[in-house]
Amino acid sequence: MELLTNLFHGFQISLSPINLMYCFIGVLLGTLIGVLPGIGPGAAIALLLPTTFRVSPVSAIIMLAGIYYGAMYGGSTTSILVNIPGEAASVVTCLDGYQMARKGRAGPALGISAFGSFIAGTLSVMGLMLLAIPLSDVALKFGFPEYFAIMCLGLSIVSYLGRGSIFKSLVMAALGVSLSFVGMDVVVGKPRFDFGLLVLGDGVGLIPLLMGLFGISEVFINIEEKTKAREIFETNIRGLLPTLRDWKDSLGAIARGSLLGFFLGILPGGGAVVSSFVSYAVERKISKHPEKFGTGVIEGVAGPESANNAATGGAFIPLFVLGIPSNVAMALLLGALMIHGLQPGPLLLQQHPEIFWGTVASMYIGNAMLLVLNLPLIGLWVKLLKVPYKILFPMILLFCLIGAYSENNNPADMLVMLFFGALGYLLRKYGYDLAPLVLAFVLGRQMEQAFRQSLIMSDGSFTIFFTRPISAVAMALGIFLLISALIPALKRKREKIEVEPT
Amino acid sequence: MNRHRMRVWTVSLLTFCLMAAQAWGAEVFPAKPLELVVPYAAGGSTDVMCRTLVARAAPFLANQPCVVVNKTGGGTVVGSRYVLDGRNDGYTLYSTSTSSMMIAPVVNKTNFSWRDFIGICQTMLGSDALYVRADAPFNTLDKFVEYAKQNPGKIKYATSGAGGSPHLSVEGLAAVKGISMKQIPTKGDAEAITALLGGHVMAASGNPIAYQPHVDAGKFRCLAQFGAERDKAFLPNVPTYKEQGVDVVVDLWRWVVVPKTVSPERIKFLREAFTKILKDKETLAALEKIQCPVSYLPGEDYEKVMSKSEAAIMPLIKAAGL
Repeated sequence: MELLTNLFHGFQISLSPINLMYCFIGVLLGTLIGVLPGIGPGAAIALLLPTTFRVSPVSAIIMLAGIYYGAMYGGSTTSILVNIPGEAASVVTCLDGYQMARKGRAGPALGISAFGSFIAGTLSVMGLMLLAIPLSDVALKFGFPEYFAIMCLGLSIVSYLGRGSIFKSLVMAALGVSLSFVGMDVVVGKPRFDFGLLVLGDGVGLIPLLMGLFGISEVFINIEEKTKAREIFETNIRGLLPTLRDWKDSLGAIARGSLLGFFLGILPGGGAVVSSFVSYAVERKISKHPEKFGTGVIEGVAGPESANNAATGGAFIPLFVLGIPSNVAMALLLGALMIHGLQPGPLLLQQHPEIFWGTVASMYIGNAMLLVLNLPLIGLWVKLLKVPYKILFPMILLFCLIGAYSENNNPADMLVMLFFGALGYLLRKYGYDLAPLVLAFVLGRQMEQAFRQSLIMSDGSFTIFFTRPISAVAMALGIFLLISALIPALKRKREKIEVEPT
Repeated sequence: MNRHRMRVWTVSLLTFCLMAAQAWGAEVFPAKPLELVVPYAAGGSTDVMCRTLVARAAPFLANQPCVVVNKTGGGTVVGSRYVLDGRNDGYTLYSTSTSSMMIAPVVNKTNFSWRDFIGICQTMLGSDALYVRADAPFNTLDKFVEYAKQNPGKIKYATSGAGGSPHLSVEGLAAVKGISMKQIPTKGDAEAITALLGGHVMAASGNPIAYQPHVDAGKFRCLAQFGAERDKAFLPNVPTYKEQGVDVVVDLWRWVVVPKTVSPERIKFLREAFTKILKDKETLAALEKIQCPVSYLPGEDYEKVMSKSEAAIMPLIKAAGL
């Protein structure tokens, strides 16, 4: 009963005209930011932070939160249309989303992405509302060994991400992990593998890496193919919304994605990115036609897109309940709370319940607004495919450059991006999948950090990963998954699947 | 004259006027917005404090706004390099602390040090502190040390980063008392706090701003603070290291500095401007609201404060093996 009273109070706050306006501004900006490749919600929130100084704390958080989960809606647009992820959490959407667009089904892909995001977003807000406090207690039980084990589990999923040989996926994963070692070492505090370059001092930036590997290389490949007079597929667009058949296929994926995303979003570090990868792998594993993944299967879009939106709800739990941010955007929200003189921490819920409930209520409203915003835009986005490529690709390059620069205001990041653009082009030409590289890169650094922190904890003993219950279960699961994926591959006599370089 | 030539002349004349205006303008300092470089990410405690500090600074800076610019990376080295390698015209200010000015250059073996800068003013003076869980078997520093003596190497403590001032402060305690503890470095106060809340480490050390909510909630206890004097804003009831017989002092100060090659008149102007900013009632109230108490010292004291700090920190860096 108390829950309903609190929620009612929250709606009272969020339905005031001023807060409705802030919510709308937030989600609109978030969608736009999500669509632009490379510029993530972090940059937008940082830019808009000063404008919230004179506004009430609830309004500020409503707007900034709207930018955060709004960006997850927009991120899939460029992934589906031009095979360039809007941000790291939309990388997996490229795999099947773009293939669907090539078959003329960009509309349904965008549509199911919007609907899935709405359902997942709403479900995760409900989860936030009901489970915030008990889940935060569970989250605290995750120590360094548990983080390492979960990441091993995440890494073992790379075997399900590739379209070609599983050994090539493993090679990509190894490369991704190696790349993640570049930068400032957490345990000792000294830079390593940076070749003396200041730009690499903090590691290879995720945005330059993504924009280069996916964005720049995509442009190179398309230019090359188009000069060979490749068939244009824009003319064959069938239908703008998902069909009943699509819904039937996707409902399970959306439900599973929501669940996965919400729980994984609570854990610091991976959140939306990791949950989207995990969702894709899960869908492929339980699908009746796993070999079709990578050719344009709608579950491959519905699942990950739901997962990354559900993760936004989960990410708020550590922030509101414990005052601990689980990613960059949450850290900025924490800063916003502090600027308004509110001390984020365990007492925030008790002393200022209106912040939590006002934001929760506004997230329901925000998700609805986003659905209404995004659906009519589908027709607009699909028209973008008709723009001649010679006009489109310079704009794509421009946005990629801006995106790479905007993270750290460092021009050298753009050079890093171009380097990875060349690398990505070569890798794709030779039939290597990029998704395992991205996942391994995202996980690699944190995995190594957690590994070393665990070993300090255990005074050098490796058994710590197997004597603690949560960690032991996760490690066992990870090893099992990896072996079960390798055995068929090893049994096959000659595995030479010709994969078209894409 | 045909239209084309007229256009060319108009544009050239306008351009010349703009350039001339720029040249005239440059004689008054400041004639364009200033930058305050923060070597940490947006939203963090340093960033928030700096934004609040300069939000109302324009009236004191010839109505030019001062804008915060984040230059993260390399453990503050990127920010320091950006300021030093930029134009030394007094438009780029740098917000530094013990970590970025004293520790980072030594640990990273950079080719610059605090001597390459000159102080505009001190803005804050604080102290990191040592925390344990409220349900831990030791509720004073002495009992903590006792436990460590009886269980060598068993205590693991989390810090916000290897080589940071909290790390050095705790290693200093270990060196003075002859105990051995192991540091588990994390990427920030948030991770260290999570580890302590979950009971995965027995102690943690970091910035009181982040830890205080958990002390208020009854989850943590503060055993000691590391500064020369008690931090009256945050930890008025927690004894310092010195008071408890540990001869280690690590003050956490924040200074606004510029490269020392900036012209003396501009340095003088900035010093006067910031003295006024730090006396401005609205700015002080806003800083109070975000719980950043001001501790002002004039720019002239830079050398003295830095030398004292260096003398205190260098032995600790050696003791921590960095």
